[in-house]
Amino acid sequence: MAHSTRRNVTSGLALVMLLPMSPAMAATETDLSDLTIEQLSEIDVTTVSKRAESIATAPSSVFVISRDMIARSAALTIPELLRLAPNLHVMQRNARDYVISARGLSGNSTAQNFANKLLVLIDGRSVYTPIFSGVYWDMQDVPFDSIERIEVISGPGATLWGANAVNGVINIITRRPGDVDGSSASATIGNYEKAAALTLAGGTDRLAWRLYGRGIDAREFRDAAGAGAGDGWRRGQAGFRVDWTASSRDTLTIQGDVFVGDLDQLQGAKQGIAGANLLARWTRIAPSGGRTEVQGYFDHVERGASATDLKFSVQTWDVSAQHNLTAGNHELVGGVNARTVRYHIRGRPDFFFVPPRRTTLLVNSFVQDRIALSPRLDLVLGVKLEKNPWIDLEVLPSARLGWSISDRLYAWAAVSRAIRAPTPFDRDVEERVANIIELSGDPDFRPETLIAYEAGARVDFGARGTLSLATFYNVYDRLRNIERIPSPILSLQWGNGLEADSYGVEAWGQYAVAPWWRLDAAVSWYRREARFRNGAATFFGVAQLGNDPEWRASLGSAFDLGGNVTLDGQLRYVGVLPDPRVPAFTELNVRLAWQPVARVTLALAGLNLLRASHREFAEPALPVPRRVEAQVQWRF
Amino acid sequence: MAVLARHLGAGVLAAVLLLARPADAASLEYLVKANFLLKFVPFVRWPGGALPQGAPFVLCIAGTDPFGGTLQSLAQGRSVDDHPLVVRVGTNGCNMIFVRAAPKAADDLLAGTESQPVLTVADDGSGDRGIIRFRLQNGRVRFEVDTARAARAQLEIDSRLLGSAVAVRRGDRR
Repeated sequence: MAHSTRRNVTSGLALVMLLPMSPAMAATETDLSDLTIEQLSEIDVTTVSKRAESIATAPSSVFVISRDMIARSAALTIPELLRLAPNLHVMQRNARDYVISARGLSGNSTAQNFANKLLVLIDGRSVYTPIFSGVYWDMQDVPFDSIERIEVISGPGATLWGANAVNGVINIITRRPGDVDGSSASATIGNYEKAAALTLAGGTDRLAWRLYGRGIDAREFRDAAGAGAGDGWRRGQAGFRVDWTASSRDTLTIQGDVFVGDLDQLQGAKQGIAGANLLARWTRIAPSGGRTEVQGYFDHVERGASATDLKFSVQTWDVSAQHNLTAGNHELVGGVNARTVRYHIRGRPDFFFVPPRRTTLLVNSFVQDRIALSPRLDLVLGVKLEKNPWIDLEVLPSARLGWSISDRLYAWAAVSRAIRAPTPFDRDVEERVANIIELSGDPDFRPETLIAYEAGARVDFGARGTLSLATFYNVYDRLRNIERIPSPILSLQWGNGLEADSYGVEAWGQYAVAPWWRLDAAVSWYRREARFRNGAATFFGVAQLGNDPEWRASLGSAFDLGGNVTLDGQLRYVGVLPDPRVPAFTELNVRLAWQPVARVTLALAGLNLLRASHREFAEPALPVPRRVEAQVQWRF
Repeated sequence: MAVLARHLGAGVLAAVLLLARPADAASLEYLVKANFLLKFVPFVRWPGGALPQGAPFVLCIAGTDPFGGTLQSLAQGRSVDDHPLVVRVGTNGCNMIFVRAAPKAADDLLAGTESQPVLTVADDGSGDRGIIRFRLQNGRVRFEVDTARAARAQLEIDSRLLGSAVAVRRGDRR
């Protein structure tokens, strides 16, 4: 089951980032009034650090995709937007399907091993599917102009977010609706994709609202032989958010979305996708400084083909509460969460679930304490206890240490435990292949576990640049493999027979060459050593855990050319995927935008410009073609 | 500081830091912007008649007030060349106006001040009639200056301020 809790609702990163701060760092107006205009211009107001120095002090590997980056991106979908985060590896498999991983373990579709170690939340609502684990990326959308930021944490976050936050967490956080965002309309047309979006916003300081609608229509890709792959798709989504400031202490947010779409198939009827969700969140800040938050949401998703083929529907009810308080040199946060998931999976003769429907209850509770050992040294200790019908009580602890060595240099280290929880696909599935092979879920399938050791540093090179470096050593156990069970036909069953160690380095930096020219660069290195546990069957080998490159790198440039013209480029290099081998490639995205008048933006963009097509993942993934698009946006 | 603490509740800053939400991020943004507003003033010269002897320097907030008392507390006890600094809501009798509103509404609010000696500062996304316009870039608060509008308002803007701006516009683009 997906049991992320909704720490992020209240903005997960902020939590992770800010726990380690020492009390001395809290800035006041007075601190800022001593700064010059130039110094004021260098404060990163999106990090919530409230200190004049812009260095981020989070004892974990965090990258934030900012509003500005989103506004200057050519992306039309969430996965393309996530390419902006250097600590994620985004691989496009076909016109609508992506494999996205952090720190490896991207899976192998032939072995039915999925990229399932990354938790994704949109405004505190988990979109990690409890059916098979992993994320259906073609079912996720958010109005881009309403995104406040996307926090991408590489490394485990289970103490705050719960199970499945194994290799990383993605928090997509939308803005409070407000007058300043205003209303906007945009249309994009390209050789592969057409999209349109409309956002209407209004209200007062006390009651602000936003309504939006978006649609995308994407053409099919071609396979290596040039034949249409039948993977075209289209999706429409609409939603709203209302924020009511009931008093100076209370805020109520209500938001919801509905979407519907269809996915072409090479053979047979289209698959339909649909969903709806409604979320309410109440926040109270007490005069004593404590902060209480209560949230509830309902989410329904369904996906499937015509009346007789595979189809599933999932309904989730989730309630949670959390409270923060400060006492002496302790900053405490704790919370409880309960989630009911009801699903129905309609199988077909060769692929079905026993039982086809269940209702499950997940409960968890967490507490975390940030202890200021000294003004420069912080220790963050936390633990989450989680229970659902398929796992014993799991203990998910973490310990993090943050050290502000100087105003410019921050170092951190952490050790934490995380799990990928069992799902119906691990427990209940029944597959038949040509009547001679059967693969069954393992009723005793246990959680996959990780103990992660991490260390990192951030350097602030004055006002103009920053550099982040993180290293990790991950020890995984009980990863899923396929076991043989005695039987006349070839009978297979999921097992927990794999273990692996992985280690790597991720680094990125930004540098403002001039106020009108910014550069960024990133490089990451990754290695994995995996083996089967004693006596385990070795079908598909250890390569099934993921086809992950040893090296990745990127270089980005953002120009403000004057005359209201901006030019942005991102060059990315992905090394060889080892098994099955996929050649290394370098690709380039470019976007040129012009504001002829203040409210209108015209943009031309090209994705993957260097080649007619390139392959990002092993077959059956398709070659990813060059795409070009033109966009007009009007704000009113 | 006192006002911020009062506004949010005593000791709340720690809680905000502990578990900040976008709204809290916005408050840092406006803390920075409030400081910017006061830093702009020394770089601008108002024409002779604009500030009679003994009159206060009036800084107005038009549209919605995102500062939550921060600007008032910063202005407290300050003066501009012997003119006591006063922060007010509205658009009448102002020497300087900060506007935050939807583009069209912001433009309407500033329409009457075009040829008056009033330094208009428009928030990010609040229309294009401000002499100074805030821009949020890469998570940083930056600003651009419209010198043609400044000239129409008979304001002289020091070149050092122009040097800090991300863009200097010399004409009405509409």
